[in-house]
Amino acid sequence: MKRNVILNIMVILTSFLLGLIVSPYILGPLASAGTGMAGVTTTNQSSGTYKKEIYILEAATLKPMVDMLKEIASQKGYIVYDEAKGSTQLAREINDLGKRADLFIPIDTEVIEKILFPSRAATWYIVIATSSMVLVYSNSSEDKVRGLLDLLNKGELGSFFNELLSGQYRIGLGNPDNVPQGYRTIMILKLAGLLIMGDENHYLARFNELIKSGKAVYTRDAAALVSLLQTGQIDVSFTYIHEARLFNLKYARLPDDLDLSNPAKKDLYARVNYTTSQGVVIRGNVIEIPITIPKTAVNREAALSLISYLLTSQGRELMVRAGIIPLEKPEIRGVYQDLLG
Amino acid sequence: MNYKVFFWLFIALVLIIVAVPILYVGYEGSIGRYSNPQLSLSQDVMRSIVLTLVSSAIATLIALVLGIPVAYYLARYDFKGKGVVEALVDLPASVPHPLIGVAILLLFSGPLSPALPLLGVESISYTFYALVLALLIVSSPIMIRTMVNNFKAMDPEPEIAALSLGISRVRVFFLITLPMSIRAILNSYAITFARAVSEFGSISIVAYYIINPPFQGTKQASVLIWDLFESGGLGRALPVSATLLAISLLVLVIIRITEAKQ
Repeated sequence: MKRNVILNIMVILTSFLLGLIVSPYILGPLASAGTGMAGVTTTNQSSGTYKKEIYILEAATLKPMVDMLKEIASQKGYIVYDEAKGSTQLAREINDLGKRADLFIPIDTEVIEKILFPSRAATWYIVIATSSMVLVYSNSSEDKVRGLLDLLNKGELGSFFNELLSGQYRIGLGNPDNVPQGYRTIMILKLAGLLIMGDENHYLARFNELIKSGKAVYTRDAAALVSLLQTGQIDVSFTYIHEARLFNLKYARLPDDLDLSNPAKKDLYARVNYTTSQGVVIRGNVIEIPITIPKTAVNREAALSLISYLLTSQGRELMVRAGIIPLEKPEIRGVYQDLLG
Repeated sequence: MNYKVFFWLFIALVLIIVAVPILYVGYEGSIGRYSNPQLSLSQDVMRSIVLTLVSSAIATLIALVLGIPVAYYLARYDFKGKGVVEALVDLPASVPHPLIGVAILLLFSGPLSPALPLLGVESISYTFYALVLALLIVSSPIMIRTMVNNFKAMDPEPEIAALSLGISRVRVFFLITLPMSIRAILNSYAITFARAVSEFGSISIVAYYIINPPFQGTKQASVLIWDLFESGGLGRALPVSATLLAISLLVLVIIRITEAKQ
């Protein structure tokens, strides 16, 4: 009796596993057939659903914007799936693993230019918005950083950076090799050194000493940085204003010489750069939020429709509500002829 | 059909599903398209692997010392609230592991903050202690569950005989139960150790890298591999994955051989 039960279970399991193995061979061609016909005549359920699905991969800090976009998309009848992670990680998954992305919205154009352009995994992008870097701190560190904030508010930048890097404050930043927020923090330090002391490495050298002593720490991504800040493991960090708002973090604005937000100061920002451990040079620039349709996109039609929406006045309002600043004139870069496929 | 053929069909199927993808990564990173011996054997990678093995071994050892008496009691005795205790013990296995990282940060910035001076650190994050604690929490349920099953399956006769001779339960546990369980302990050690080596979610929050000597600036292997993937793609991640895979396999084989000799 027992043996029969075990045998039956095994037969069921085997059938299930064999089914799993064989299903792509059976369902794959059917799905492709549906795909091929979807735009022409077919009205069957699977191809209809397929045409409505859209996959968006976005930088974690842009999640609120994508959530709002999802609502708009669902009103248009689309079923939206999204994945919010580090921009570099997503770009790697698209480029190296061929991950499906109908829309890709990283937090920096460099991610597209340095990772996706060389392999032609994307060939163009549209810069749709900007943001600015601010100094964030948590409730628990508010008292501790009060003096620091006073210096910043009074515009005594030399004293501010001397105090910030004195070793009294624990500073966090994303790993600059992988996280745009991280290399932008390095750029702020370099700009400060350049503008205040005439030497871009002045504050960076001190900062590197803090890294060695553990007074300044790298995190793997923005989520880890926020965890450390909110639990009081670090006192301050430089990050995006929209991220500070997203996580309800307290923040203080930086002058626009340092906050990487002002297009008029583009040349100043370009005087500094960051070289990754791989030797890739990332130039200082205004924070630019791009959007692209990578080659791994399946539903280009829906993706284009959502891009078009973002470029309308309603789309611009949506971006403002998400804490980012839409550009007056969105700019397309790369092989823009590929935009229409 | 010969019954052996029948069962070997299952073994083959499971190996294809479970082992082949991982071995394929090992192949690609060692002698395949992504081979890069210079990177595979670099100093950073070796330091990372030593950190991973040492922290996992310590966490597993602590899990054994703390968990075996728990597993024994859960296996041998019924008591009020046993279900609750079992559920709590299993809890770390059922929550997203980044949450465990956050929990450690919260505890040591709140109720457990007085313990920090005793540990000689200013904050718990980025310390070897945080790494071992995270590994201990995520791997303990596996250790306790395997040991509970072992104790339940063990013949209780020798224990009953010893108890009838007036030997205390604690002495019976140390003098009879534990020596009879050496093989199961090694088996449990292997499974728990393997779980600790592969942990990523909690430590990427709590100990992205270590700031104290002798592992200053070193990342645990799974974090290092993911970082290399992000910064350099498969070409940098797979050679290191292959090295970790080979060393993990070697350690597990050594533990299994030791277990078989018992």
